[in-house]
Amino acid sequence: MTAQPWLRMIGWDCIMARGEDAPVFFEGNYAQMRLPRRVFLSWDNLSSFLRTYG
Amino acid sequence: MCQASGLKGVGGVGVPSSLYERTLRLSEEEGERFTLLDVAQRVARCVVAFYWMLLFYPISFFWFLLRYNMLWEGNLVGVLLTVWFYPVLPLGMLLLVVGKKVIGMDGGYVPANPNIFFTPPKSPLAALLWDYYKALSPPFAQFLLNRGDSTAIAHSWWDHETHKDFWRAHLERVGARVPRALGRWCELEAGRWGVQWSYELKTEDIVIKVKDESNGVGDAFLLQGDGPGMVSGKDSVEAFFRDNEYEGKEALVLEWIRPAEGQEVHSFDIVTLAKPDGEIQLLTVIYWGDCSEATTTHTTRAGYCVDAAKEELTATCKWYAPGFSPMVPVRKQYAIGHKVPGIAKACQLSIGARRPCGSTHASLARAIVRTCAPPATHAHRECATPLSRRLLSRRARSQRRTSRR
Repeated sequence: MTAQPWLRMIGWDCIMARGEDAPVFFEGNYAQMRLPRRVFLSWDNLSSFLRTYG
Repeated sequence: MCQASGLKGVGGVGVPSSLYERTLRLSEEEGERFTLLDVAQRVARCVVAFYWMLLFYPISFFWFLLRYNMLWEGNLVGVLLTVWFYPVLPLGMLLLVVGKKVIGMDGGYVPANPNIFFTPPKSPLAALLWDYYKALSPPFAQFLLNRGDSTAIAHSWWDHETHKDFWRAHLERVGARVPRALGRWCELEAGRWGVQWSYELKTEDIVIKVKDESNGVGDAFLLQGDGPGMVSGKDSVEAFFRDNEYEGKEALVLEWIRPAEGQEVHSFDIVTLAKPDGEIQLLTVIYWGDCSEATTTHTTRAGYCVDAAKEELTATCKWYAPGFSPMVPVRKQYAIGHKVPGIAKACQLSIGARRPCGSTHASLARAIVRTCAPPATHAHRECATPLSRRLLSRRARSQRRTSRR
């Protein structure tokens, strides 16, 4: 993903599928809507995100 | 790192101070969620983050917000909101959300087919604050991680680069199994749409996915047979596309993947983060289960946090959305304590797929391929030489703006 350096947060969707010995992945998603639920979940999480990315 | 778990190479797991461990612990100690106080605190954190970024990045944050708000609110409202209110933008956004409510528009992001993820809190005041939170949090979180990247802003609206072919190609690169592509609904020649088959369809049930949509928009789950809503053979699949107005929207015809023995209909949501130093870390693994329809986990009624090292559901995730806050386990065998073998491998593959091609971590990716790739069946070979790779290299994609998803 060299051409997409902005893909810093990704949500991957997968399933443990019948007849498979490994997970089956449906897709990935740019996690722009999923991420805020984690960032702003607690003061501790927010502080950690600000220290890492702020 | 948690060496014994098979999670070698998955950053964040087993590191007490990591965001993964913090969020997992928070979930395991979870109290009541989506009360007025809980929602108000989330809003307060957004406001704190806003002033942090305003203080440290006053110009680039303004420039980002201007472009983001013009994209999401339209040019006029976006410019007025950002220019007029910038030092007190949270106040401006509150007025906008309330104004939308007053004139009957939805104040927050709602997809075409609302589901449990978009159910508001019960209290009207908490519901208003939740809409306000949903307006504040995405741009602030995006700037925190991506600053003002224009492509990232564009992708908050429409996945014109990161469509389904893009993800499938990156997953295949590290040996991850993806649903077989049986065919592709596309423009075969100017003005003529049809299915380009890459597999001799027999009696398979199929799933249709529009290439650049999300949230289940355009999805169809079709059983093989002669009954209503079923398809029997290639011609009826093509007829389905025509009858349901797919022309103009490229779509994949995929095999229908069913859950393993001993598992209910489910999916896992694995979120990975790239740190500024390039390390890829795991953030959360969430299990969506107890689905009211067998076709899609968009109908889930139960969400659990997964301990990837233990490969086990260890906590509820009532924090995720108001619809989950009153959640009680309906199917106890698929609740806390349920084992999910294979999730550690899924996390390894997710981390590997995020790493750039040819990076210094390529050896890990190769190792993952060796250890995780399924047997080289005909189906998998077919996935390994896909049309998707050719499409991935076709960079001249139009930058059209679609309706809000």
